[in-house]
Amino acid sequence: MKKQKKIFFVGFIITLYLIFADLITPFDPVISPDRENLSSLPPFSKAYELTFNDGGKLFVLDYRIQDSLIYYEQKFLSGKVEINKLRNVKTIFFIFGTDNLGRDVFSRTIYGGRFSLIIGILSSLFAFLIGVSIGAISGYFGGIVDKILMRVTDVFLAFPKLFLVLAVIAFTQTQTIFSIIIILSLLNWMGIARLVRAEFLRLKEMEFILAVESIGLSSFKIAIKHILPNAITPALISIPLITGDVILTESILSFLGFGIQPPTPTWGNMISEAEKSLISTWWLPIFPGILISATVLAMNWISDVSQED
Amino acid sequence: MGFVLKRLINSIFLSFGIATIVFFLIRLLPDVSFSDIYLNPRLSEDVIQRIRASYGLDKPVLIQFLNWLKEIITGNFGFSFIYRKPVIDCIIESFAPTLTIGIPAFIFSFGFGILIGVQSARNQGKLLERTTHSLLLVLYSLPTFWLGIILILLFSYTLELFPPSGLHSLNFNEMSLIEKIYDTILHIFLPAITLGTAPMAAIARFTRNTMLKVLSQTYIKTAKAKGLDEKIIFHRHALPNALLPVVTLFGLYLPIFFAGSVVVEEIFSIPGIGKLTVDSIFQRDYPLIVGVTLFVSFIVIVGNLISDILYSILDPRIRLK
Repeated sequence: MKKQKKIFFVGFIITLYLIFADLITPFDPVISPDRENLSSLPPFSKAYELTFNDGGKLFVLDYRIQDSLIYYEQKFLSGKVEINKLRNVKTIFFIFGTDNLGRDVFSRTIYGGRFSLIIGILSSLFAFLIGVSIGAISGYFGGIVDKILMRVTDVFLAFPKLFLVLAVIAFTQTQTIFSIIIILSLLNWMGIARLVRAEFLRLKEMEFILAVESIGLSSFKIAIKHILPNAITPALISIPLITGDVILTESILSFLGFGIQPPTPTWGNMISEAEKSLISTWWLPIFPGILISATVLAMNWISDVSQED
Repeated sequence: MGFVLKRLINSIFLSFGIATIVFFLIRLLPDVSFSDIYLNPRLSEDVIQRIRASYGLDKPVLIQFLNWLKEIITGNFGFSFIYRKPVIDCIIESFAPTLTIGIPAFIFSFGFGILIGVQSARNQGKLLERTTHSLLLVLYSLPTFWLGIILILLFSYTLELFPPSGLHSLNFNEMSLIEKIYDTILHIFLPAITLGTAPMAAIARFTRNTMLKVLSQTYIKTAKAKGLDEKIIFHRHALPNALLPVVTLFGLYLPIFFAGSVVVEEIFSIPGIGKLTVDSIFQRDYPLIVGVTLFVSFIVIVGNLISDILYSILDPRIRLK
């Protein structure tokens, strides 16, 4: 019971996050409110948004009021404005800092994770479906069908995975979420297929199957109703593992420039962009990286917890 | 011997399967290698056909496939478009840098992995062991490219201990032998750690788990009941049996270290197999793509073969199955 609670908890948080990610991003993840004055601010930076009576806005790093004038400091400029023109001052925080285009890294990190998670979860589910189908067909029919399918599985396993993804993406030149999900699920079903097949073969010999056989149930019905539900249980554990693996692969793809393209942020392409200005803006790669690690860790941990008795 | 032979034949079939898939995959994808030529308005249809014919592209796909297979078997992988030399030469040249990173990473991950795993099993349940166990899961979950960047940030830019990229310093040729070795070690350190960390964590966790499984066996209890010394039980009875499955990891992890890591070589600018992979794909260099894929798959297959053979030598029961 405790185990299920833990897994439920992680799933609950991920679902909440996927639904509400837009609401917790304080700024636009793609367009900066003021590119010039807010660029490359380190983490925990504070800035002020001055709104004027004519509707104009000014982003300043610091200001002070003296003799009905407001003296303000910007990144490169400083100046003054009469106080009666001012309507409102809003303090804004950049807890993860801003990137070199003045975008809030926190918003981008939150927003970017959704693609990684959606790709990870959907790909592993598709991979599970493919794996279970192939494993079940292989285990059910046996003989030549089994031999051929297992050889195909071996070939897929021996393929350099990342290489194949890169090749297919580079040649088809499509980098939509959908195509990435399809490719990644086509490359991750092999382990599940083997597992389900082995379970199928094992369960075929079990006594309860003999029992239903003797009742006179057709072999197809036995396979679907009695063997399959039992055969997929051990394979379920590998879903979170594959999810973690796919999230890593997706981030590598984005990192190499083959994934979802900027300006849409993903964790991978944020780190890739950050690598270009590593010395001046050291904080850029840190947060997306921590979030990838945390997500993959959570997935690995789920499967770890499920394996424990 | 029959077991090894069977595995060997299996591997050959596997290589053949991969070669077939690679060939047809490349042919199925849109033919863009000559797209620049096709765009040239001065070229007549006739000339384009002759160019295609010179590459054997005018024949039926099946004939092309058989011709290609014949060339592959005789060791001719074709000619790289971008490097303008035989594909096999490109691969051999890139293999050396990959090995320079791969071998230290291999030693690092297996050395530390097994050491940590065995020590964890011995101290199971203690606070330090539990912390290590969780920490290993964290290390296992770190994305390689991020780890690389963080290490560069920390050790190259902040502490200035190791150079951030390349395999040699610029003045490498003027150095004495000892300086050369020192320089290479400095350059290898960060990439090898980056490459080896995740496998190290996996190996450590795996070793710990197999070790614990062995320690709970009845023959260990028997040894304890006989009154044998704990140390002797641990080293002579438990350790060899627990390391058996770990040894098979040698083969399975071979590709990680020796097939070139795209990510590590990209981050640290190492001209190895991984970089060759990315280049060939970016430039759509068909012969090179096919060559590299076959090479990498070959390493995977050799790795599997090695792990099978090692296992059958160490555990003869396997051969009977």
